[in-house]
This record gives sequence, structure tokens and C-alpha cells, in this order.
Amino acid sequence: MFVSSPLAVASATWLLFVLVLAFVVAPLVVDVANHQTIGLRFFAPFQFDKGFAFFLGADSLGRPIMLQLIVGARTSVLIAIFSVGISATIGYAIGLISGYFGGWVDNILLRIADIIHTVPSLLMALVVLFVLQPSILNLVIVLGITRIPVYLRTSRTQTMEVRERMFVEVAKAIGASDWRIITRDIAPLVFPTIRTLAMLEVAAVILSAASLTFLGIGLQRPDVDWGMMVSDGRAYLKSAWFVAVFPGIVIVLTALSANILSNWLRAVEDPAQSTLFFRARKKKRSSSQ
Amino acid sequence: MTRLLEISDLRIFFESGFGKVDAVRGVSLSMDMGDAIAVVGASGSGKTVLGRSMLGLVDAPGVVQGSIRFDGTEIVGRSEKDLRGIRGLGIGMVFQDALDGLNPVYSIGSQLSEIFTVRLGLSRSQAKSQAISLMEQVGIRRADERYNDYPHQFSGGMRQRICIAMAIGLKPKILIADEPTTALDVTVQAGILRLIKSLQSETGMGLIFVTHDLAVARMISTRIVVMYAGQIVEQGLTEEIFLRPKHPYTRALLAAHPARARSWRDLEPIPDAFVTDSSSGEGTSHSSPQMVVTS
Repeated sequence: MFVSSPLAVASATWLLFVLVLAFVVAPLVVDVANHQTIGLRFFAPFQFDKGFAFFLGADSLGRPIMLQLIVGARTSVLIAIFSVGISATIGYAIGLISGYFGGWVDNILLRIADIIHTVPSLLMALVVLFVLQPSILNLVIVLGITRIPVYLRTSRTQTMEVRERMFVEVAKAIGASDWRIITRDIAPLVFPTIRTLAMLEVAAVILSAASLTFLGIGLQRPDVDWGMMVSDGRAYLKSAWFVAVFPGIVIVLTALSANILSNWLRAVEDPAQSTLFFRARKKKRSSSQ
Repeated sequence: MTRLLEISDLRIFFESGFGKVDAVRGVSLSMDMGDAIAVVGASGSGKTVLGRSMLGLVDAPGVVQGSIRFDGTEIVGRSEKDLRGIRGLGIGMVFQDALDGLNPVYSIGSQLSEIFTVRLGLSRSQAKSQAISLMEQVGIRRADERYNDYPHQFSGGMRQRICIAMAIGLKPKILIADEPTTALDVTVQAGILRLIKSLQSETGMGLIFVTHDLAVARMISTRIVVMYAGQIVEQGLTEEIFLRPKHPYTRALLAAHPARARSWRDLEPIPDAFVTDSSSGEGTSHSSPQMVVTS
């Protein structure tokens, strides 16, 4: 069933590859990656003269781009996973409760979400990171909290829609508790949307982290992430395109893979649509009867 | 002796932005084990809200006043926690829209057996065998093979059978059926009605069957309650009502039945004046002349 969708296979492979690079390879190459060789400043890519590490060229301080990408992968992936995880979990849960019960609780939660939404997230991050120390943990928390409203709204709207469905009424009539209805009946139907949204947000969060870094309050060297590499290379786009382009390609590929995979998961999980993927099994069964 | 169900002077209204809208206006009704009561009336006559109120399922902005006593315990004003104990175990309910009555993401079997594990504390395997025998009871063939199938793999009639199975699974003393056959075609309808009837005579539970179809009411009930604009305008034994309808509205309902007509011109629409006269001022939503047509 997995093989029937080559795009999904490719995306999963890429994400797995990034994860392995980030958590297995990155710790091994951290020293080499941050070693500056001024002589190799803007070393052009696609040559093996200086060893495999310089295959993708070198940046403005002569650091090998390929190894920088690998080390940056760890930071980017960590920031993306944790901040998306924080905001998706909190937003999903509050949205379910707020949408199911409605009333004044719903109103208050929604107004808070409105406030968070109206303050530009970048501005809020600026202030918070200026007051606190710029560190990976603070970055994760700030990015996580500012993105909560996105999930809260989606989850709330969808909960309100599902709440009116007949099977919720049926569950109530059999005596199911509110908690059971929320977790068993409504949450599974809202989850695929939240997951798709979360995977879309991975790209947005990597870019937000990059903008903060660009403004100088995100990560600080020697920490590095893909966003920082893009903003570093931006200044030399005319003379050394590869400094910004390679990390850019990696960001796009990762975001795209996350999207494709989430779409595929959604289709497979839907019982009505999954027949497309499980057709082989169905045929076997109907012929045996 | 306490009666199984005793409703006295029940009033239900909805607070809307335009003022109070009455749905049920002073209904009294009682029943014992084995009774089969059909509540008939046109759309908007309050029959569905009446059914839901017996389970405490009238949500805000709806307000319920009066008294509904089930087996001696008062339902109106009960806490949500107490009501949950009555729902399913004491009173079961089957709804109109069977196509959406089951959660699409769980298999039929897991939805049925969940009732037993949660409400009766049975083990998984016990619950499964209970669920399968319940599926057989409502006429699902090869129930053990279909246990793991999902709702979309069942037809509308079968889904309604599953909904009935869910409602009777905990052996309630009263089954409320709110137009359970309206969404189904006529051939399937007959099967469902026969099923409900036979389940009722097997278990001896009380049945409250809400419908707008007089033919269905005649087939399933021993007593008929005719509702109009939130009030009971006539009640009595089913055959009595069909032979000698007393109230003009009942007569109008009977005259509007398509089975009596050879062409649609023979049908008597319920007169506009009649519809508006007893819904004084703010009240029901009838505004245009309507023809009571059964499915």
C-alpha cells in the first residue's frame, strides 16, 4: 500500500534522511563544520579537490556548507518539532473544549486568541527574546505560543461542526460523558486537519526562526540553523549564490515532504478513501467469499 | 403503583432573540411496560422535542418546565451526571438520520462493544460476543464477519438497524424512536418497523414512536397521541382514532393521507386558517398553507 504512492515514499525517505543526519551524523561533524578556513572563502561547489565536505562549497568564513547544513538540520528540526508540537497540542486541546462547550468560556478563549493573533508574532518574539536570553529553548517557547491561535481556531471550528453530527447525539442518548464524546467521537475527526496544518506549519516555523535569527535575536553562533544560513548567504547572492541557495533548497524539500506525507496519511486514515490504498486486500477478500 | 413514565403539564420553550418560542405547551402523558404509543403530528408540532426531553436532551436555549417521572424518578432538572445513568440503561433512543448516526472512524463492532465495556464493565471478549449477538438480533446476517466493517460499508437500512441495536443494547425499559424510518425507502421501512415491533414484544419495553406518518403509527402502536402546535389535541386507542377521530385536526390529518386519494387533487390540504388559529401570537412557525404528506 505504501509503494502505491511513490511521492509518499520519496517524502518519507527524505524526512528520515534529514532526521538521521540531524541526530546521528550532526554530533560527529560539529567540530569540522564550524572550523573556519579563510583561504577557502566562497569555495565553489561541485568539486572534490578539498574533500567531500566541500562538495557544496564553502561560506563567507570558509566553513563547509554541506556540514553546516547537517549541523543546522539538528537545530532546525528541533525548533520545528518542538514549537509546532507545543502550539498544535495546546491549540488542538483548547479548540476541542472551547468548540464543544461553547458559551462564555469559548468567548474568553477566543478573545485571548484574537489578541495573540493581532500582535504580530515577530514583534512579540522580538520583545520576549530581547528581555529573555536568546536561546533555542526560548525560541521554541515563543514560536510555540504565538502560533497557538492558528490551531485553536481550526480545531474549534471543526469541533463545532462535528458536534452537530448525529453520531454525537446518538452517543449522548446512550449516556456517553462529555469527556468521552470529546476524546472518542470528536477528536479523531479533528485530528487529521490539525496534523496537516502542523506539517504545513513546520515550514513556516523554520522560516520564522530564520527571520528572528536574521534580526539578530534568534540563534547566536556557533549555533546554526538553515534559516541562519539563508540569511547569511543573502548578502552574497550575486557573487556566491550557493551560500543561500543550498539551505533554501533543503528548507523547501523538507516542507514539501512534510506536506505530501501529511496529505497521504490523511487519505490513508479516512476509511472511505483508504480503499484506494487497500484495494488489493479488498479484492482478495471479496473473491474468497 | 408508580407508572413507568408519567409526564404532567410539560412545557418546553426556547429563548430566542425575538422572544419566547413555545415548542411544547402543557403536555400530560403516561405509559406502562408494554405500551406502544405513537406520537403523530405535523412538522413543528413539538413531537421531536417532546421525545428528546424525556432523555434530558433539550439543550440551551431550550427551557423545560413541568414534570417527567421515569419509574418514579424525576427527569426535569436532573444533573447531567444522573441523566447519563438513565440514558441507554433506562431509556434508549433511535434517531431519524441513520446515515450519520454512527461515527465513521470506528468499526461497527467497536462502537457496539464500547457500550458494554463502558456502561456494564464487561471484558473485551464478552463485549464482542454481546455485540455480535445484538447484531444478529437486529437482523444483520453474518454478524461476526461484519463486526470489523465500517459504517460506510453498510446500507442505510442496515445502519438504522445498528442504531436500533445501540439503543436497545443496554435493555432499556423505554425505547423512544424519533421518526426512525423517515430517511429510508418504503421496503426497508417495513423491515425496520417489524423489527422494532418484534423487539418490543420480546422485551416488553415501552415504546414511544414519533412519526408524521399515520399508516406507520397504525401499524406499530396500540395508542395514538395527536399533537398540534405543542399540545395534545387527541389521544386514544389506535383503532378508535382511525374509526372515530374526534378532533377536527385529526380528521384533517386523516383526510390528507395519500393512501386515500386516487390523484393528488383528492388530497385535502390542512386549511391555513386552522393552522394559524390555535398558535396564538408568538408560537409555532407555521405561516403558509401546508399539505400533510406522508413518506
